[in-house]
Amino acid sequence: MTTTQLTAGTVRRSPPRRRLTRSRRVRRAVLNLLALLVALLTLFPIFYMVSTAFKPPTEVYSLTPHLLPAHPTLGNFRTVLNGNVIGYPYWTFLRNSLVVTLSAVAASSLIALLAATALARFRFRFRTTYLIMLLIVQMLPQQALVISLYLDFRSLNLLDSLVGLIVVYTAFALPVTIWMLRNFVAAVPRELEEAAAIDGAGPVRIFWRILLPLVAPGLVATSVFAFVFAYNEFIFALTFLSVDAAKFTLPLYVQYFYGRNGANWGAIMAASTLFTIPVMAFFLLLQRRLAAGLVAGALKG
Amino acid sequence: MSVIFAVVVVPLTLTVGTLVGLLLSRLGRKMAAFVSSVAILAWATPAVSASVIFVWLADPDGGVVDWFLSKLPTWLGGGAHWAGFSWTNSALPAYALLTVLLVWTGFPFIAVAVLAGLRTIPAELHESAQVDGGGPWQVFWMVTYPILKPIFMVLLLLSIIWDFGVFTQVYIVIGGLANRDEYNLGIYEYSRAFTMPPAYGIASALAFVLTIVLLIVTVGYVRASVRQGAVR
Repeated sequence: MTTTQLTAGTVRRSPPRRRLTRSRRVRRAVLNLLALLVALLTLFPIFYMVSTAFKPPTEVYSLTPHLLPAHPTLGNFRTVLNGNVIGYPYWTFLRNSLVVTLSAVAASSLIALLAATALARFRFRFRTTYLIMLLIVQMLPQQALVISLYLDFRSLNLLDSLVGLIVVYTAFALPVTIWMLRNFVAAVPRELEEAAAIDGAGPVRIFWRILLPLVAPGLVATSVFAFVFAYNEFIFALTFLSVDAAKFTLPLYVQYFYGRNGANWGAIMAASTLFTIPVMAFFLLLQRRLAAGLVAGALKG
Repeated sequence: MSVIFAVVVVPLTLTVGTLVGLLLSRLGRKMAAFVSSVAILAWATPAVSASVIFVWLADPDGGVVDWFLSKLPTWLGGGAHWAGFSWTNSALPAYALLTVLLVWTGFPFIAVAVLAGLRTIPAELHESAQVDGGGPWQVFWMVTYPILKPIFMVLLLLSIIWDFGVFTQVYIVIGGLANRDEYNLGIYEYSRAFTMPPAYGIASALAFVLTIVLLIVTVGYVRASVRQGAVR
């Protein structure tokens, strides 16, 4: 929006000098060309993944690679979906991923909403300290925490279990979700709650009837964040689910498939495509709001 | 390895991201929307998928990169010796591949953040700088950069945090824990804990070092956030 206004403004100011507009047009063409080049370079790996997924083996290994499959086939997807390689079909891993991801999203959203409300509405001791702790905790490297958590979870018998992963993902999503939600709760005018209180609504009712509907967009944003995080997470899945292939989540499955099946690139790309497309669809659908929200969330904390 | 890698990848990602952000701010609306959609796709690609894709692109048999390099004219460094070149078997090519991979996944975030920052700068500032005879290079360093400095600081710190101990991409590109000379700090620490015999003590000590290094960076990040007034 802003760009069009700005460019419109600059164009309107320049008409007296004709030659300038022409050189502007040339510059604009160059810029567009450059943009197209950037877009193509960026898109190429994704495009080639999908294209390879549809190629029959002879084309995958042909000495001169082609952009598009000459004889598109669904064979690679069939290999993946039927589970000829690992012994379980794709659906098992999709189910595992969905169970883990959705549980973690639900749990972290609920906890984060309560925490964010407390942080935005009440003043208490160590509140600022708590906020700074959230910022720091959010930055701790996962591969550093994985060892101690592995030992803890081993003694709790939570290895090779999806419950263990749900707990970890919930905990790791919390700092960012609390931080993001806090801003949304703070944006709800206090007067609304006071008005409801005067009309005789108790705190619980105010929370569910007034606050919750108003921070719903924020909840969507944080849920998407938690979803993408848990759906993509690799290190903990790799460490905690090392033995039982039936418990694998999708990222682990793709990696395992690639490790076991080193040369069958068509099938690997098919698996990777099936894993990736949902996230991409998600991002594209919510692009406008999401990009701004995530950037703002990350820049502010 | 981790330090060198971060020193290469972080500035590269920031530069590419900033350039794309500047480019986006100059495009027409449709083109800008198109390019940022594409960039968001790269950003949305899960680390595991992105790594597997790049390993495939650089595969010695049938990969595009080797084919392209072997077709390049010799004066550009191309030639037949690239055919069948393995990118993942030794440390330097593997990390070159990882660099491209991490820049590819990392630049969209920077570009979108820089673009968001650029939109807060009134156009008049740039125009008056141009009228005063500043070239694009000068305008960027004398006008844009000082205004966006807080954003750049945060982006710099975030990139360091993300790229320093990077695990998933390295793990997949070097093919698990088999090649010891291709380890970075994160992978080394992990391998001490999770290959037989497990040395949890040493691994935890390494994890501690990794955490401390990143905590130092994080302190800078937190201070930048506090100064921006995020903690209230």
